[in-house]
Amino acid sequence: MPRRADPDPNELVVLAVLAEEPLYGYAIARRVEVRSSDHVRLTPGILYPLLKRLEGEGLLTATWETVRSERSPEDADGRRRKWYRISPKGRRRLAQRIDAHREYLRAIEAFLPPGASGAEATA
Amino acid sequence: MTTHAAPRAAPPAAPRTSDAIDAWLDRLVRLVRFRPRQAREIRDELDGHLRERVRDLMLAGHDEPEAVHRAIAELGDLALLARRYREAQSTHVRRLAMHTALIALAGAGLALGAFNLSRQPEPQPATPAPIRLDALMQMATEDTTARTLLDRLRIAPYVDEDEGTISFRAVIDAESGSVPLDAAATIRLAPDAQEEGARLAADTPDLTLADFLSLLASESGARPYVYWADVEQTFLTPDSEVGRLPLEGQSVARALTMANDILGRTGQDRIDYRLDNGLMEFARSEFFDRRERRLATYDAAALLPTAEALETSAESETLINLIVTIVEPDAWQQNGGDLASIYAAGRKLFVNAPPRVHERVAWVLEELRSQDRRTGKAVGPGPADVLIPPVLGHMEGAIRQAIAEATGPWVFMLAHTPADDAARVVEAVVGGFGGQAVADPRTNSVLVAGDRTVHDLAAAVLAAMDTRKP
Repeated sequence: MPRRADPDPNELVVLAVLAEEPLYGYAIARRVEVRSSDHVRLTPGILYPLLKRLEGEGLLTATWETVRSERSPEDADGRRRKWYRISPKGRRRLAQRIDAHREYLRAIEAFLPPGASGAEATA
Repeated sequence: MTTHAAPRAAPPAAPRTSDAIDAWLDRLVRLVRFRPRQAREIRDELDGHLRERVRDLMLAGHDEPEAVHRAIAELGDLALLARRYREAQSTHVRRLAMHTALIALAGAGLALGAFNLSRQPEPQPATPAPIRLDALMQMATEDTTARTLLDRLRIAPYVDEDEGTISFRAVIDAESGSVPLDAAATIRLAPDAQEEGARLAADTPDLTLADFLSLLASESGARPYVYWADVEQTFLTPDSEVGRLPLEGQSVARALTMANDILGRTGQDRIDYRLDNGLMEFARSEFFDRRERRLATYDAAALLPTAEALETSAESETLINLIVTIVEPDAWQQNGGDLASIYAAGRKLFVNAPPRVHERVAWVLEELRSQDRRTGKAVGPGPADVLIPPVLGHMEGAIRQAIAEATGPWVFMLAHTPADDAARVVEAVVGGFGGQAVADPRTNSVLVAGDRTVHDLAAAVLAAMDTRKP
């Protein structure tokens, strides 16, 4: 059945970042901010539930790591950090998301006059 | 809801970060209502996030109370976050709930048999060595290799159109190919509900949503009325493209199901219709749910034999827990939803819910009563009956698809092992895979919700556990 993928940029962004290397939640958020020059912000209130869903769908796998404090190694206090890794299924989903997004961009592109900035085009 | 009272005495500077963050996390975890293991994981993850964020904000020049305040504020409204977590958790559960509502897997479940992980493949490369289940389970808790292996465990449905049954074969997709396992379970589909109304005369041309809904109405001899303000909440517009559909000879309900699939609408956001007096109304499923919600009582005397009037017993709590776990989990107030509520008073259940929830509640109660009548029946290996409630008969196609995706919730009834013990073991095994297991001691069942891996794992664990004790 032909399936129109509704654009979910957050899912695309998270999968794309994790396709490069495994990261934990806070690092994902920072990576996204830096990569997009602050244009894309995954607020934690969106990010963590999203990670939970992606994990539940088998697109990500997660492992726990005990955090060691850099300043005082004895002060590990059992804190844990959850690392996410993209699964093969996640990579397939990412490819679909990218295709859908490219299609969407092409569709929008048809409305843009070549070479002109927005102000000139609408003047 | 109780909240942590702010400490009156001025606390020392260092613990203050912890106190504020801990109190906030306590409230979140209570709101989310996850099972303890998952709650702890969410807590740990967000705790790590908040502490790291506080550190960064302090490095950026904020003082500590301000940094804590900002870090927590960034997480947004507590109730909203809890709701997002519940939705994230229930996406796959809800997808199935919409499609199949309940698949009660009676008997021994899918006996996946035993595998032997340690042995080398036999000389015949086409038949890889079987894998021993106990070894696999132990490894699954210890390393990721076994998890990877379990990821490859799949249940493949085989549909027998003539018999009206679906049977499962479990296959493990090893490097050398698929290995069919020996045991299989059979689903018996409830008879198809009568699909009332018109059948479409021809395939549709390329249509927008508005035209498509008008077409459905005119084919049914009715005038369309679309609650666009409601439908547009899901970012659909009259101009959303449904496209061309091969609908010749299909029912209106089927046509709408396909359109919903194409538009990617799930759960309560699927467009539904009501046909009455020549008017065909279209809105989201949730819209009709709210409009049609009604209060009804159920006689649970057979299930709550010792209950006193107006008294809440452990039995009634178990019964309610069972219902809100397996029937539309997200709808219930108990689970943070706002579509349905349930209360036991004496031997009666009071349920305020939409009709389809009522139908499923009634079905569950009927299944439980008939289970009582069947007490003493030996539950052993062999094909197991799986029932799909009649109300969903017309969604057979979607059911097959959902079964192909094999999610939950499932009811495993045990013959030889206490459900409490079994649920603990299952929870320990499937918890890491996002699954949940709840015991229903009264029917000695274990309810399992989760994805395909969770189901396979639970079925295998229970099949291995639930053997006759010498």
